[in-house]
Amino acid sequence: MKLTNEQIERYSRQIILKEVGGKGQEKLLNSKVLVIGAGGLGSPVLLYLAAAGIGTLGIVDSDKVDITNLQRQVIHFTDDLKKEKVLSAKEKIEKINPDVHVITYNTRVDASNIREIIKEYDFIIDGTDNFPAKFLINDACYFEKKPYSHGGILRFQGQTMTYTPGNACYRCIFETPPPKGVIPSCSEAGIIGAMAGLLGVIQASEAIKYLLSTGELLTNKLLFVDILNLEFRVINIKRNKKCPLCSESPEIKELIDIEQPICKISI
Amino acid sequence: MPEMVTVEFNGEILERERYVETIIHEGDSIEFIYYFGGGNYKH
Repeated sequence: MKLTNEQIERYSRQIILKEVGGKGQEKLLNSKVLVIGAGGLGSPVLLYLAAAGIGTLGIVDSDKVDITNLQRQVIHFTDDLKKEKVLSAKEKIEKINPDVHVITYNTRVDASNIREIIKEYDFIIDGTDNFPAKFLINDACYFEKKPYSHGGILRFQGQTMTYTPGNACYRCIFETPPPKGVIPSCSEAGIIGAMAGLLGVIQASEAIKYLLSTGELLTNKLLFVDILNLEFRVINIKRNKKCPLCSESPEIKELIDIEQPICKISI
Repeated sequence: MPEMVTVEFNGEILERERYVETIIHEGDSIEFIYYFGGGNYKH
């Protein structure tokens, strides 16, 4: 694919970066990224990846836009209330950048469909809101040998890590989901929209770096962010020899749905 | 509550069963890594 004059102009501010260049921009336009969850994390991820000219963006979400989403899910507008999130997100992306081909999946990922969905993509973003989905995405990406970015947020804090085949996976840190009721969700404990935005933007930049094969990825590292105290901390992580998924003698040999509804706790 | 945290002890993930028996010495490095989910999931 050769860049058109309009594309050279549109992407000029990133094409002039030596890490991108014309070749890199062509790579981005030929890339496919899947964003699972078009919510607090998925919104900034989708907006920035669309603007950067990722050629194909897949969006998975089965929810409709709710008024409580609008405080942080910035791809959805007040006019979109009750609209399917995948449709609302697709409309915005197409307005930002007609170069982007959007594929929508108005569904939830589960063990029966996730491998089929992710195998078409070069990089996957976990923008989900619950632990069964987070573990499922990790397991599916491991089995399909796909790189992905994990993200989790709560209140004024968040964490993110990047998985690529051969490096530490989410289960190397957290072997299993937490028991029910231990970790609250954002709807229970609250979330600052800017926290979701910050974390999502880091996830988007991980995808871009991976696609361009440039810079340092957040592999074998976990970034912890606290914007209340403005603390950024990177914790080095090693592959866990006893990881139930990616060790030499794993307990998990095939993809299964994890029966753990999101936790409830009173705070 | 031990179920809500992963402990990295001197660069290795410490198994939960070993929390009680593990003795910390000066100079050991310990990281507490918490779960972060997120979301607006409807129950």
